[in-house]
Amino acid sequence: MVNDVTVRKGLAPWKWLLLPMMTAVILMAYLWVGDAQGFASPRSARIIFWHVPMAMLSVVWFFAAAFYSVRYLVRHDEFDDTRAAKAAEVGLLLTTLATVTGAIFSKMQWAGGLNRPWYEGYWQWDPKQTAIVIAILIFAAYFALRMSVDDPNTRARLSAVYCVLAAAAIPFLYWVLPNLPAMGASMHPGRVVLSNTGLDPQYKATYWLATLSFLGISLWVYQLQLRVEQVAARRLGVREAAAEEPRLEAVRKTAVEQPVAER
Amino acid sequence: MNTARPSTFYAEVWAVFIKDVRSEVRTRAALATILLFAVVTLIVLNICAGKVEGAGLTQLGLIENYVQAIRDDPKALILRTLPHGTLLRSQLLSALFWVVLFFSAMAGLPRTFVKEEENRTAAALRLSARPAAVYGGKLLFNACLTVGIAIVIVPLFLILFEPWVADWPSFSLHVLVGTLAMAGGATLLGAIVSRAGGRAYLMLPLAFPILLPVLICAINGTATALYGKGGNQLVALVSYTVAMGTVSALLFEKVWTDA
Repeated sequence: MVNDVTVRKGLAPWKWLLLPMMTAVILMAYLWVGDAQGFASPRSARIIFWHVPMAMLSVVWFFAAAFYSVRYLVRHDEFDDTRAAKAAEVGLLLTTLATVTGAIFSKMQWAGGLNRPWYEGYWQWDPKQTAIVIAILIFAAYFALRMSVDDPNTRARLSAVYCVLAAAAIPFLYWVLPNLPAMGASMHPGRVVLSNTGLDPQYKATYWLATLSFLGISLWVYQLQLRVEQVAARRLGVREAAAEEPRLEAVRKTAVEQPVAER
Repeated sequence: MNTARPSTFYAEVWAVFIKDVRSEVRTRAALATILLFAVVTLIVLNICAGKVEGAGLTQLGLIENYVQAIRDDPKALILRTLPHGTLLRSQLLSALFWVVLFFSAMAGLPRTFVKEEENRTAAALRLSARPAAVYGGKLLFNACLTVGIAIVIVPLFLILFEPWVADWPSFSLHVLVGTLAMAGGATLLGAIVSRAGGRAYLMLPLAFPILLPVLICAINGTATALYGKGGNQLVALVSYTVAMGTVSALLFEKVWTDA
């Protein structure tokens, strides 16, 4: 399964579709959608088309990693371990991008905000900022664990277990922790995207198109990463087989050609 | 004599627990590590941060007078004091307390599994008890260890840092639930560390993010208990611990056995 690398000519049709989709999102976001109300700098409300889809999709990828981890623990298919690692990698990339875009936005928008009126920097320790930092740390620890175990089977098993544990913490981080009263009031708007009245139709259309496009792009990144792993595994397999060949030949000679007494 | 009689699950849990207690009493390795770590950290913190002495509000008068005194003379000695009964002092001391407890627990808790691998007794344990019973016994042992550490650390903390505890029941409950939560989260991670070639340095990076919600809730909750106003964090602590404990119990067999 690992070794059959299917060679396809050209891109799959849905990957071609990503180009017009993403172009449409950019054009819609900057030319079609109007400025939002109730923002310190109304133009910056367009962050919703980049920051929010990435934060949301990171959850999808973390759960995908957990799904493949569980499947590895059940079926022991080595490639499921690779899938889990690559899915976690895409999730980590998305959370990092969401954090960076969010930090830039928070300086523009939240300087002198309600929790720390005296603070004008990039990081307010808003409950959701706290939560996403913990999520990043958890999956960084997942890769630290992967790096420090040498045996592939042990690495796959231990990191799968850690990934499932991490995924169990994710709902708490994304949906429970930010709503705890002790974390302080959040400056993130709550429940805008999924409600019926939170967004204008224009915003809504652009937002969901952006989410779909980012899903496609992250899926593409994920597939490319898997292909790299597949090719590397195949090359390793070829090299090992080549190294094995003379040794097998020697064994065959000893076993077949030499008389028993000489061995 | 009665070799044919199958042992029950709880008997196995108890046997694993008693075995660990017995071997701990003989060497006292984990206990000594954790206690030394905790005491040294507390003393260092007290030497450095203890200069932020607490003065009673009765000595300073009202908090307004305190603020006024700082305004009048910014270089005054009064700057070194952080009055008892202020939220800031409660939060600071609560954070110090949990950081000491967390880091000392993380230094000692993986020992319970790492020592099985080091002494090459893991295989024997794998043969003689079912995985769930091993998890139960180790969890029980770790819980006793952390609670025991807390029993030593809390009085020391109270004497050295003199926090004014406004709400004793809430304070003790937060300490109890928080330490149990740390034991619950760290048991499976200790097993992972021991299986990853006994690399004890892995414990902190693995456990820290997973237990960070526990730490945040415990610090917040203890601060309100010291201060006396505000809600407690017990529901959040208990629910997170139960969720993590359940997932850990389900996953433990995959870490412990080789299949």
